[in-house]
Amino acid sequence: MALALSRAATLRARLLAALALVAVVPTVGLSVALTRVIGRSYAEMTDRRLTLGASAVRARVEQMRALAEARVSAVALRDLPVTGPDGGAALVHSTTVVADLPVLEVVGEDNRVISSRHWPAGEDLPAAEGSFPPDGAIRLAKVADGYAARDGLMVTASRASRWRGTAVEVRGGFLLDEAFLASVSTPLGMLVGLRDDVRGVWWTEPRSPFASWSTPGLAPGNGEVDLGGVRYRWSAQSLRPGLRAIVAIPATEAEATGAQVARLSLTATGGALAVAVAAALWLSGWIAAPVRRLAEALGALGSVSEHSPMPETGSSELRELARSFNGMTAELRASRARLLQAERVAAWREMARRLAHELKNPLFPIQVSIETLRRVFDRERPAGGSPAFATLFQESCDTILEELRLLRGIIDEFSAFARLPRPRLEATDVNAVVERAIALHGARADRVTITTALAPSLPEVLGDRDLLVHALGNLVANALDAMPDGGTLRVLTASVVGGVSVAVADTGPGIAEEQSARLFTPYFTTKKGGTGLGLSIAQSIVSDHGGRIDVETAPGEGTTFRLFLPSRAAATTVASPSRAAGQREGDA
Amino acid sequence: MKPKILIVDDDPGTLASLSRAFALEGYETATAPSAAEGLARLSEEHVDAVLSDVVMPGMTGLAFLEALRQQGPETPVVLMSGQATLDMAVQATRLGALDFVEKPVGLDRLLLTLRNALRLDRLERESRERARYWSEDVALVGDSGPMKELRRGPSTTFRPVAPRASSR
Repeated sequence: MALALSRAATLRARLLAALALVAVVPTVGLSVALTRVIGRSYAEMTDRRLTLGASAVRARVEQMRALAEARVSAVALRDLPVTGPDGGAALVHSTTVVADLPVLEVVGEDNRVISSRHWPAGEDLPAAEGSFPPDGAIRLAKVADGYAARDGLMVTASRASRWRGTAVEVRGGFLLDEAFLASVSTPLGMLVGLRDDVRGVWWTEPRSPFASWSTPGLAPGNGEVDLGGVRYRWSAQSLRPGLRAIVAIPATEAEATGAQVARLSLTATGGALAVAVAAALWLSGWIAAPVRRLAEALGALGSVSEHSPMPETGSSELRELARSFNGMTAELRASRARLLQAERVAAWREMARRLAHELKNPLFPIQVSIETLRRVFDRERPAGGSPAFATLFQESCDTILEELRLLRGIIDEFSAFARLPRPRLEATDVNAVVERAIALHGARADRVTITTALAPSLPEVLGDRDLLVHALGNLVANALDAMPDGGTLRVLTASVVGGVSVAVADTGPGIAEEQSARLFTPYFTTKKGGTGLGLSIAQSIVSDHGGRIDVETAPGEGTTFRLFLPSRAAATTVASPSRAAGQREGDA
Repeated sequence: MKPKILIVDDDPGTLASLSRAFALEGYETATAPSAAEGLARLSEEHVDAVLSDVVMPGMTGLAFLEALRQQGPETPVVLMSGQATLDMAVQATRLGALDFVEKPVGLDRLLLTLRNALRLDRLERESRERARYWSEDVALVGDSGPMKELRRGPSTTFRPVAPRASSR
């Protein structure tokens, strides 16, 4: 039984492991793959965003250059106003578009600056000195800073014009200063910086971490850099030779989403695992429980006393299994009960045979001795002796002989029980047997009402009609004896699984529990004058037919004897071990 | 001379009680606790009748009867058994038992059976002797009544085979 249980436990553990594996492996795999794919695609997305950001910076610079060109053209197309004594110094201030171009200058034929808005102090200086060259759109030039001058990065355009009859060139544009960078970085949500690779300087917003980036690679493209303990992903694009626009975002920002995805999928995996294990626990229990019950029931088969049928629940296959198992165990128990009864009957018969034999032997010499004594006494009585002794002697002899006769009667009954003939089996109608038994004993029942309920189409049994009438007659006689003051005797026949059942029910006083246990024991009787063999003989006969007798009794309500006989089909397979004792008789 | 009866039974009580009963009725008795011993006794001494149990350990009464018949003597045998069956009785008769009684049998009945057996045996023996006598072709002379009776055959002349038991 322990073995069977441990097997069931193993089965359950295996089921659990298998189910958990089935649930967990895809979940974990999926979450790992998902984390990796999302992480990679998020990195790609970040790089693309950075590339787009860098492009946007370049496009913005280009846009400003185009705007500068348009405005410079507008200034140049008109004749430049000829102002007062200052000559060229106030020239740029007089133009109508001054406010729109923060960087503006007019350069004369000799390449001297006639007028400058962004660096008024530079007037009359050659344009080459700190001023921007005529070709490049983006360049470095001196810009007024209070009373000093500094280098300013700017995007510009130039157009030829005329002033006071001479050819001049109008040059103007926008500063690529902190304000410009802020106007770009804010909508992009990135750090934006311009790198002068020739001079190795940054143009950045104030307090930009780019300032500490001393060696940005020269090639355009994407990359990662650690600036002041923070990792950034960056993207760079060339604005002109030697000048690059670089945008960056903290790598943690990019990775945060990936980490979040990973965390989420980890949580999902954990949840799935928990759910899977719980489901597996339940499922394995659900699958293994009937198997365990089956194992327990199989173990319990070993003991006759406890009989708890398996619950016929669960899936249809398990129900079917439980049902057939229950059927099998019921059959097994029934046949074991029959076998037990048959063995008991055989044992009692053997005992009865020995008892009869052993008692009969000394009975004969006792009887012969008494008879001899009496003969001698009769022959010699006239010779003497008192009449009182003669009477005493005669009476004693009579008593002894009478008791011997009674004893012999009992022994004969034992012998008859021990030597019940082997049934001559033929197809027998149980209803006819019942009717015959009632007819034989019914005459005695002057104060008992006898009712019968005979099933109309009983299967035939293989049996010896006379012996079965004897057996059933004993049950009927017992029932009648149990109701000396009247009552009702009911005899019912019914078709049951595997055979025929006959119930003989009386309304007598019932049988006490301690007595009902010994009811089928030979020579046990509750009746005055009974030999205690009636039930044993009935049981013996029924047992010889492969059947059995059970008793149900309720003190005060009555007793029902239930007789089972296997049907013709079932009877052929039943052996009758109780014959063994009978067969040994010839050897004694 | 008293008729001698051999009693064969494995139960000493039966041997003793029957011995006493028979002796009182005027028989001489011999006892054997087994069939083998009974055969031995019979080969040593003459007995007039044998009363034997059937169911005994070792040789049964039936086997004993068979062996006795092979041994030669035509001693009358009565068998008795406590577990008599029809088969047993038929077999006993076929083997030449004069009677078969079921134990426990009443003493009167047993004595009667024994008497009948002895008488029957005597009759048979007389009949055989008479037949031999007549076959020797001896002419009986005389014309008296008894002589005429004698010539008619062995059917009417009897003597009691055992002392009469006192009536009861």
